Amino acid sequence: MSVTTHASQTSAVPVVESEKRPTALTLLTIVTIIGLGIGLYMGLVYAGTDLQQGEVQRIFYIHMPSFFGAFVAFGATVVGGIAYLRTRNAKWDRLAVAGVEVGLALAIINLVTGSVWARPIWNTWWNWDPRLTSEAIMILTYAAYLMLRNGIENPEQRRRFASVYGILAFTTVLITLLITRIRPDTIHPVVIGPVLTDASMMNVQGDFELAATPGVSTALGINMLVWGLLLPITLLWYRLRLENRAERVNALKAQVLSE
Amino acid sequence: MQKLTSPTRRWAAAIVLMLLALPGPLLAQETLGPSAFYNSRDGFHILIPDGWENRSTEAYAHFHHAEAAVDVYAITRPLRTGQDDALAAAFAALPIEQPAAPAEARTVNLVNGEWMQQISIDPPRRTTLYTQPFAENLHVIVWDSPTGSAQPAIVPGEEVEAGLEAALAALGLSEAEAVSLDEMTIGAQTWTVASFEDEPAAALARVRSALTYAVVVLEPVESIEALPLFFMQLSDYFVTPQTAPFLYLGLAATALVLLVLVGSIALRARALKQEALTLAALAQEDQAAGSQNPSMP
Repeated sequence: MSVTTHASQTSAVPVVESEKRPTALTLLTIVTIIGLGIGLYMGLVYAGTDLQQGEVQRIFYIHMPSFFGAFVAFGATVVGGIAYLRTRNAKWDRLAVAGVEVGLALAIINLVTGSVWARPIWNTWWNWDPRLTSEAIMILTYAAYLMLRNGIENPEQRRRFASVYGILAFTTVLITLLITRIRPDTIHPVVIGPVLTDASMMNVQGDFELAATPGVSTALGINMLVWGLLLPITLLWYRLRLENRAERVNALKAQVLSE
Repeated sequence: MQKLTSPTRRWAAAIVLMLLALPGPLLAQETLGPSAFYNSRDGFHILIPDGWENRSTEAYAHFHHAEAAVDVYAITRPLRTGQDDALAAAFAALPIEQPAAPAEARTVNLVNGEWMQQISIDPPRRTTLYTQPFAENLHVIVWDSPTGSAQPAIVPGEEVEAGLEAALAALGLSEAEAVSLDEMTIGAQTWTVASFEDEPAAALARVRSALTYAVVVLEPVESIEALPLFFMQLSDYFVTPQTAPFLYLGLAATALVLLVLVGSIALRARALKQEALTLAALAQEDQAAGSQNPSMP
């Protein structure tokens, strides 16, 4: 693109060219890709095979960390929502929407991998276990966020609505996180952390001991770092850049149309 | 690379810290206690009973009870040309000879499926053999008593006395008559211990799911409670299921979702870039038209 001194074109140039990828993002991307490779190696090769479940148990190294990745992304939506309501600065709204999209993708990975695991272990792709039901509600809640958001024309009204919705929607994440520890009728295993009621472990199926298979804790720790932190942050950053670019293009469009 | 700005430096430092944290979990290896199971290479796992010496090799499981002079072997062999061949292959791998033709054979339906029980009596040797075809393998569990000191049997019987009588008959001891019956707690289970005037020395029996599990002790044994633990091997044995295709399916689904997200971000970014360039070109055209026609508003 030739550079001219024309006002409109100088407005377009920053939209495209000022978005050169920051060094930190390049480094983070490289670290994340390497991390994903290491995580896969740890989960598929380093960790031992679960004797009772066989190879499918290895899906756990993606299944659980991807939920925590979704937790981080949806957490960013809450932060963005609160910050927007306080400051009315649109950049926080862009963070919120980026968080929903990334969180939704990671939550779908969590749900799909869980379903695939359940087929040989629970002998069904799906059942209405409390954890599965709450996760499905969580995903539908965030999918509705994207749809409803796109249905509001007024930008200010859209941002305000999305901020409040994004904050309230996080309750579905917390419920999904804690439900296996409080509901006695769940068959979903609790692998890490305290169980709030003894009764909640009564009906568990497909449980396994972390120490019973070699390398589980190590593989899980590394994958938690990658899927629960590096990957959501990297994806959030890219998605945020996209939202920033969309905002600038919209501003440019308005400018061009007004001339 | 562009010059590292202050926020960039902070990000780089955070990434370096994350990288430094990566070996942490690697160094903090979990210490594994001894396994309660013997795990064969082909995914056949059986419980190691307390009070039995584990003499297992890579090829088969072997537990020895020194006082009772009893050996228990567990092995699995592929079912290529039939059960008889698989059984012969199992005994070819074991350090004992295949027992004589069974005096009694029956199918017993346990919690983990149907087993064929074969009781062989070849004085002084007494052997009880359990076999189960599973997927493409034959699982074999052998109770071998070279001196005939003790032998187990599983027989139909919902009442312990009747079941014990049937077990004694199956083991060729139909004339034996219990003089007293006592109860003994072994682990969480209650077993009935029968005493006899002459032979056998004692018998332990327990009813479960319309079956009587019995171990008849022909020579006095002090730690008699270790003998019925053999049945735990039968009921707690398991085979690792072949679930690798589901792992591959899960990985493929994960890759697909990530690909859709990353691809969608990339495509949308490209479309926006294109849109920005088009807008710039439009603006340029407008400007050119405006400069040629200055009277236009």
